Amino acid sequence: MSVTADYEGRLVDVMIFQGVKPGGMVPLTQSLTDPPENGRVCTGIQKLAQRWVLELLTIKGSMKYLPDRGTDFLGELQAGRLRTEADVQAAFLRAMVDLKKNLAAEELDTTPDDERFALANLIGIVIQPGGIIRLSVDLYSQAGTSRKVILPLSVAGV
Amino acid sequence: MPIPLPDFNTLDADTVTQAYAYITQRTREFDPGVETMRGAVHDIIVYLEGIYAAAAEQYATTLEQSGSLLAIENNPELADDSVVDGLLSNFRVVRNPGEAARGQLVIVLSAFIPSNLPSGTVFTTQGQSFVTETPFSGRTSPSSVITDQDRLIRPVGNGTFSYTIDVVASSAGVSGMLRRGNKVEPVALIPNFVSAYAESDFTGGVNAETNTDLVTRLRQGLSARDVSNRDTIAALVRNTEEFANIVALSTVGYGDPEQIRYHGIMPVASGGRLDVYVRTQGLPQSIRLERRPVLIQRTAEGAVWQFSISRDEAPGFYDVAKVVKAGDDETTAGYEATLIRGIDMTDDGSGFVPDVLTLLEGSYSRYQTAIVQFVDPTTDPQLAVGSRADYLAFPRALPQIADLQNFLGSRGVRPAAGDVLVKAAIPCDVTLSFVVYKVAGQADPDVTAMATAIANTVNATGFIGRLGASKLVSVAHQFLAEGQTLGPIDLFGTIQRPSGKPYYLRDRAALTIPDQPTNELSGRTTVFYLDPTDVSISVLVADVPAV
Repeated sequence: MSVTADYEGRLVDVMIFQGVKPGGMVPLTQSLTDPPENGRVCTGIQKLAQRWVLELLTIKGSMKYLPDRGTDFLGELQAGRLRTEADVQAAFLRAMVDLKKNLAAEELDTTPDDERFALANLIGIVIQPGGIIRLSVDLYSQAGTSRKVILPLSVAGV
Repeated sequence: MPIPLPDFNTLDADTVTQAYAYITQRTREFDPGVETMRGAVHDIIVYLEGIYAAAAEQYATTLEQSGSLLAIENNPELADDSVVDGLLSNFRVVRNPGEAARGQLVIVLSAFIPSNLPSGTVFTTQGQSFVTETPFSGRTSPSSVITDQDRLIRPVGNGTFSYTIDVVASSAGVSGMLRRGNKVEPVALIPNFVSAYAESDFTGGVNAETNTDLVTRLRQGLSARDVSNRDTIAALVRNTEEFANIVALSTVGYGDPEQIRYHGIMPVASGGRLDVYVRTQGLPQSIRLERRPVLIQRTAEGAVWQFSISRDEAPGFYDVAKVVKAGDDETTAGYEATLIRGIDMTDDGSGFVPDVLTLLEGSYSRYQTAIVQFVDPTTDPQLAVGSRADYLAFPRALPQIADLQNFLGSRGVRPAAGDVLVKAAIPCDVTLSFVVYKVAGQADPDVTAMATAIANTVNATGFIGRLGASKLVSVAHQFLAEGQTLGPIDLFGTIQRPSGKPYYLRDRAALTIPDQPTNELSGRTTVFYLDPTDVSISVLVADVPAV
C-alpha cells in the first residue's frame, strides 16, 4: 500500500484508471473518481503507464494544435487495416517509434528514471470474437521497474 | 455578456504553442508537485487552458489592432470590422454597407406575344446575379401599357422583339455595374427567350466601405467643410449626400505646376485658381445620345458625317466610344468617331463661370463641347451632301461632373478669393494580359472572377500615379489553387491627354503616369481605368518534370 512518503519530492498526476492494485491482474475503469472515494493520484511507474496508454491510444493528429502527439496505432486498428497478429505486431512497433519520441520530448532532466519510458514489449496478442483485440504489454521504465498493461481494444473488421 | 472569443478551431498555431508553454510553466510554478507531462492534469487542464488562453490573447490582439485610429491605419486588414464600427460610432461615423447597382435589361424574344416575368426573376453573368424587384409584363399593344410594370414589346427588325425591365444586383458593390451590351442569362426558362443584355451602363453600385475608407472619411469628417484646403474640400464633398460615393478627388491649386489657369499680364502664378480633379465612380459610363448628323463630305472610305455635343449633354466626357446607325444592333462595334473639342464658357445661369480661356484648361470639365465626325461606308451613295440621318452616339463620361461644378462653384461654397473648376480625372485606360500555369489534370481557375477582381482593384484606386503589377498579382493569387502560378503581367496604358494626343505606357512592373504638368498631366490629375473585358488571361499546363 502506498503511503504519503512515497510521494514526497515526486510530481503527481490524477489517476484516470480506477481499481489499480499493486499486484495481480485487475480490471480497471476509466474514471477520475471511484465512488465513494474522490479519486487518486499516482506517480512512478503507474504514472508512466498512464502516460504511455494515453499516448498510444491518442490518434495522431486528433489533438488540435498538438499534431505530433499520439500514434497511428488506434487509427489503423479502427480502419480495419490490422487483420492478423503480424499486422498488429508491426503496427505496435511503428507506434513505439512515435511514442518514445513524444514521451522523451516532454521529460525533463529532473524526471525520475522510474517515470521515464524505456521500452514496451508486446508479449501477447489475443484476437477475440466480436472485434476485440487484447494486447498484453510489459512496460519498462529506465529505472528497470515494470508494469504489465493489458489493453482490450474494440476494432473494426476483425 | 461573455467575451466573444474567436473560434477555437481557427486560432494561430504559434499563439497556441506559446500559450500552452506559458500555462505549463505557470502551473508548475503554482504547484510544483503537480505533473504537467501527458496525463490527466495535462490533457484536461493544461492543454485546454492553453487553447483558451490563446483565444483570449487573440481577442485582445484584435481589440488592440482595432481599438485606435492609429492601429487601424497601420493595419486596416487586421482590424476587426465590428470593433472598428464601434470605435467610429463614437464619432458618429457609420460604415456604408455599399449599394447594389441598378439598371435596365433588354429582353429579346422570338415571337411577338405577351411576356410575363414575376418578381424575383434572376439573371446571371460574370458571377453576378440580378433580380427583378417587381413583376413585369411585356405588352404587344400600347393600350395595354397601363402601369409602370407594363412594358411595350417592340420589333427589333430581324425577326425578334424586345422590351425592357428594371433589375437590381443581388449584392452590393461595383461588381454589379454592368456595361451597356453585357449579356445576361436567365436562371429560369422564359418562353420565346432569345437573349438579354444591359440596355445601358448600370449605376449606383458601391462597395462596402473598408476600414481604411472609414478612417479616411473620419479624418475628412472631422475637418471643416469648406474649400480652404485639400482635406476640407474632400470633407465638404464627401459629406454632401449627393457626392458621398465619389471615389477620389485631387485638388490642384497654388504652387502646383499642373495649375496653368493664370491669365495675368505677368507670367507668374497669382493664386486664386482651384482645379478639382475627380473620379466619381470606378469606370466611366456610356451615355446614349440620339443624333441627326449632317453629311458633310464623301471620301473613298465612305460618307463623312458630323454632329455636335453640347456641354450639357455629356459633361466632362472623354471620348465617343462609337457611333451606331439608329435601328442597328447597338451592341455592335459601330463607327469610330474623331473629335474636335471646344469649350463653351457662356453663363449657364448660375451667374458664375470659372476663368477658363483655352481648350486645354477646360478639357474634361462641364464646359467642354465637341464636334464629332465619323465615316459610314454603308451610306446610300444617292444621299446628297447636307442630308441628315438618325444615328446613336455613345460618349464615355464620368457622372456628376456638372453637378459637382454647380455645387463647388455656387456662391455659398466657392472660395471668395478665387474660383473652382471641376474636371473629370484624366483617363489612363489599362489593358493587361498574363498566363496562369496549372498542373496537368487541375481545373482551370475562375478567370472571369479573377479578371473582375483585378479590375475592381484598379477601379477603386484614386490618384496614385503608379499602378504596380505586384498589387494585381496578389489579387490574382487569391484565385489560384495549390500548384498554380502566374506568368509576368503585361501592362498597357493609354492616356487620353487633354491635348488630344494619346500617350502610351507599357511595362511589366508598373505603369507610371508621366510628369507633364504644363499639359496638366501628372499623377495628381490622372487615374487608371480597367474594364474587366480588357483583362486577358490564358491558362496553360505547366511542364513539370517527372521525378
